[in-house]
This record gives sequence, C-alpha cells and structure tokens, in this order.
Amino acid sequence: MTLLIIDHHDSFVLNLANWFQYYYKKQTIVLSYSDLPDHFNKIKKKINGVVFSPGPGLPEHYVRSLNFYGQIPADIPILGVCLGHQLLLNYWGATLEKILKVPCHGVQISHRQDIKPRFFPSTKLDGPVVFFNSWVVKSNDNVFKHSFDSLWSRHGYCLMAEHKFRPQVTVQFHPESFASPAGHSILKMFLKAVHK
Amino acid sequence: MTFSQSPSLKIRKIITQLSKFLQEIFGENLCLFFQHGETKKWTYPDHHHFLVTESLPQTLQKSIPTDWTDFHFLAKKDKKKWDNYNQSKFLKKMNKQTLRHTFFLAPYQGVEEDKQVSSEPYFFEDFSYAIKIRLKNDKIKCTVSGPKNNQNLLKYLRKKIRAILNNQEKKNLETHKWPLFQWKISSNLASSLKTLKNELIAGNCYLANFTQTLFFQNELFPSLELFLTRWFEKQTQFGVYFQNKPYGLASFSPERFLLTSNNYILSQPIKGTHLIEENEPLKKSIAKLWKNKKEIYENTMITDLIRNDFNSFCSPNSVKVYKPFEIFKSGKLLQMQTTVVGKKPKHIGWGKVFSYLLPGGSVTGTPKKNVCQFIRTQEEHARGFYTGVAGIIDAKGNINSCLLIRSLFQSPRGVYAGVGAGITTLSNIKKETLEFKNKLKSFLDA
Repeated sequence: MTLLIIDHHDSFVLNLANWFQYYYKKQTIVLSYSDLPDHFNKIKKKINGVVFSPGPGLPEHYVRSLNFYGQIPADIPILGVCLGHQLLLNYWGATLEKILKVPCHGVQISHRQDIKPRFFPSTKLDGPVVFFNSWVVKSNDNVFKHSFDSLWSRHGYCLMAEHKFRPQVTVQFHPESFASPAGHSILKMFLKAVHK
Repeated sequence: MTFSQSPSLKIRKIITQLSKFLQEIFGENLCLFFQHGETKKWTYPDHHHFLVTESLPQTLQKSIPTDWTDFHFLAKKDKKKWDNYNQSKFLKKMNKQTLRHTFFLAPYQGVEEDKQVSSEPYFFEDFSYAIKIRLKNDKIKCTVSGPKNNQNLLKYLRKKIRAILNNQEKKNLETHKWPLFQWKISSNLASSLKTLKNELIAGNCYLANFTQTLFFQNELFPSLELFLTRWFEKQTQFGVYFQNKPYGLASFSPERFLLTSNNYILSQPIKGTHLIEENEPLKKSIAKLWKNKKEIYENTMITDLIRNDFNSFCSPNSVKVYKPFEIFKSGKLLQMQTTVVGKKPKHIGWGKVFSYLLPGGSVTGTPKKNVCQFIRTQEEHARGFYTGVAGIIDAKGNINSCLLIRSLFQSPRGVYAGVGAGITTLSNIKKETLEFKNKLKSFLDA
C-alpha cells in the first residue's frame, strides 16, 4: 500500500509529500524522476496511487517520467500537479503554450469548477488556489476531444482536467500551497480514490 | 504606544561604554549580536484567503522581541584567532547538542563551484564569556556569565559592568560620523535582468534573487564605535559586529533567518520593500505595499519555498504559516515578512537543519537549484559572506540568526557589501534598479 510521488525537482515538492505523509496513513515515497526505473514493474512495492509533481521547464524535458506514466496500470489513481498536469496531457498529445500575457507566478484565482469529476468522489471544491506557471494547455486543445475532459477553464486555458476513462486528475495550480485553501479538498478527493 | 522608540542617550552611552570596555579586555575576541523589537507591525487584512495558523507555539512567541531590545556580547580570553571551517566541518560542529554561547557565520554557497570561487570560510566559535543586556522601557536587566576557572576576571567584569550600568563613568558620548561610501550600480544590471527574465518566461525558474557585490577601500570598514552610533541611528531589527582580522562584519540586517526554542523553529523571510519619507508610516504607504501584486506573489513563492525547506526535516503537519505579508519598519524602509514555523524531531541536529535551509530561500529563489546555478553564471562577483547567515546559540542552546543583507564585510577579498532584489516575470528593470539604490542608501549613505 504505497503512494508514489515523482519528484521533478521543484522547490515545492516536499510540501506535497509532507501533506500526503500526514494524511495518507499508509506509506508515501518520494522518488526523483531521474531515478525512475525503465519499467513500472520494476517497482517492488504495491503502488496504490501516483503523484506527478510540479517542476521547472516542459514535459519534453522529462522523458523518463513520460515513459513511466505510459506504463502505469489504468486502474491506479494518478494526480498531476502543474508540470505533472502538463505532462499527463502532453503524453496524450496536448500542445503546451506560453501564457500570452505575463506568466503568473504566485497569482491567486478563486476556484469555480465547471464540470464535476467522474472518477473522484464529488466534494465542494470552491475557494482560492495559486498558480506558479509559465505554460498552459488551451481548453480547445484536441486532447479534450479524445482523452481528457477539461473540468475548469479560464481565459481559454485548462486549469483542471480528468481522464475520460481512467481515475486520473490533473491541476495546473498548486493545491499544496498555503495560498491554496481550496487545494486541500482536491488532495483529499484524490486520496479518497487511492484508499478505495 | 512606543513606536520605534530610540533608546535614550543614557542607554546609548551605557552600551557604547560597555562595548569599549569589553574591547579593551578581550580585543578582537569579541562579538556583538543585537536584536531590536518592534512594537508595531501591520497584519495583512486578507489573510483569510490563505491557510494560516492563528497563533505561534508559546515558547517561540516569547522569544520574539516586541517592546524590548537584546544586546548580546560574546567574548573569549584564551585564543587569539578564531577557527574557520569548510561547510561540512561547520555543519558537523553545529550538530553538537551541547552548544552554548556560540557565534557562527556562514557565507553564501549555492552550488558546488561556489566553494572554489568564494574562499570565505565558515566561522564557528565557542565563547566562554557572555554578557546579555535586555532593555525594556528604558530599564536594564543584565546577566554576566563566564568560566569557573577564572573567577578573578569574572568578578572584575561584573564589578566594572555594574559601574557602567549605574552610569558612574562620567565620560561623554562621542558620536562618530559615517564616512562617504561611493557606489554605483553596475551597468551590467539591465542586461543580466533581461537574461534572467527570459529564464523566468521559459519556466526554468519562477523567482530569482539577483544581486551585485560592491567593493570599497579597506579603511571604510567601520570601527566598533562607528558601528554602534550607526546602529542606534538606524535601529534595524538585527545588529551584528565583530572585527577579527582579516575578517570583519558590520550588519544592519532587517531579516530573521532562523529562531529556535526547544525544538520549535521559525523563519521570517522578507519579500517586499517600500521606501517611506515619513517617520511614522502612513496608512497609504502600508496599503501601497500590500497592493503591489508583484511583492505579494514573490512573498507567496518564498513562503512556499521555506515551507518546503522546513518540510525536508520537520514533523508531519507541523509546518505552518503565521501572519503572512506582515509589514514592519526597518530604518526608512517598510518590509513585508511572513512567518513560517515548524517542529523539528529531537534526533535531528542543528547542522542537519542548516544543511537543508542553506542557502536561504529569500536570497535565492524557486526552484532553488536552478536559481543557484543561474546566480553562479550571471552574477559578476562571488557573494562571499553577503546573503550568508550570522547567528548565536544562547545559554539555553537556542538559535537566533539573521540573513547577511544590508551588511559590510571585511576579508582578504577587501571590504564589500551587496545588494539585490527578487526578480519575477512582472519585474520592471527601472523599478528594480531603484530598489537596488534604495536598499544601498538605507545602510551606506550618510
């Protein structure tokens, strides 16, 4: 019973890890993306959930993570945060675009969900969340036709998404931040799916 | 309500006389660590939009000065030169559980290569004599402690200090004029900031503290008396001084790095600076700083970075944010700080804690690793002691330390000081240059 957090060397990953270490009563392990095995089966623990952490740069800089993601069994719940969100969408063909105006490192937006998630227990998710990103996936990207649903869009950008057929949820914002009071209910929502 | 109350002439006289007396006895084996409390701080009105704790652990709350000022003097008789170390030896020393009356100084070191470039050592010094003066409402409480094997000196110290405190020495207070520091912001600043902004827009980093180091003539390093005159005039939160040739430090730092009480730890990163003309900050000056989104965003990122650093060793769910974006006054500058607290497991030593916290989050940026690399390649001079940390371990084994900004350093490199600002995608080069100037003026100009 292990939750695996893949670390993309952000300076916020341990906030996420510490949250799970406290709320997930089973084991949580943090593994650097560069130490990921070349095949999921080589992980000798029973993995119940995977978190793809935030990190600098673009998904294409993390080939090991993309490759690893592709091998995770379809029934394991996955959460992608910031770069993790982009990484999952990018795997299914989404294009990353630079935010047209200035990037918003530290901006708070009030979370108002457009669509309820399918695979995750419905919880009230309203409240402020914070963004630390320069890149986005547009909500009219083709990935939302065949693989993902965009659950929350703003100014034409997808800020939260869920896989159409798998328990995988992704958020462009940082739910672990002290500036994201609504983020905790999202982490708890994911954790409930991991516990199932 | 006392606001930034300047100590009376009587107090200045006492502290100056005491410092000079201790310098006569201990020579260069003396170091001063002052901490000034502010009674007035402004709480951010929208803090309910953030996940915050409403109170601090009591043991920490009691350690933060409000209406008092602490003057620590640490000294030793036995050895002339101080020991200096490399990073790993320093961390090992800090791990000892029995440290008391210790002074330490850590230079900035961001990446491995910094070791080769910056030859500034780590200092770690156990002192045998400790004099602590607490000033509250113009009343003085003093403790003097020293080794048992030299009772005569201890007796003599106590007698003399009592005489100084009772103001029986009739000398007048000499004031010393701050010399002229000539400084110029390097012309490379604009081009470096441009390169940095491209990194930020590319998403390789989100916030970087970019700095410049300036060098001065050797004779400009302040004497003890000059430092005291200046510190009483500026009343910055911290004041640290020593001169143990060829090294020296005269710090007017406003920023707390790490405060500990038992196993509770606290850091107060500053992001957000605003120059004011008035003596008592006006409401509109306070509001202006809070309305500056760039500063709020920066402070948010640094707070999450410090939480992250704390979360590398703190007990689960113990890391909390208290009073985000709180404003206080340091000299002529308004400063915006956020308090982060945590609890360290007993078995983890302070050396280990410093290995996770250094270099400080507010003087680097996010993600720390990338930013440190950027600093290495883009900053013209190695930072040396600038943006390092100085602190003391008190009689109970608790740490108090500040970040070495707004400070003058002396070393074989010469006399130098640094200045910097947090750069984000929202930075405007003109405004950042002005911030550099305002910060330099705040401690270098007459």
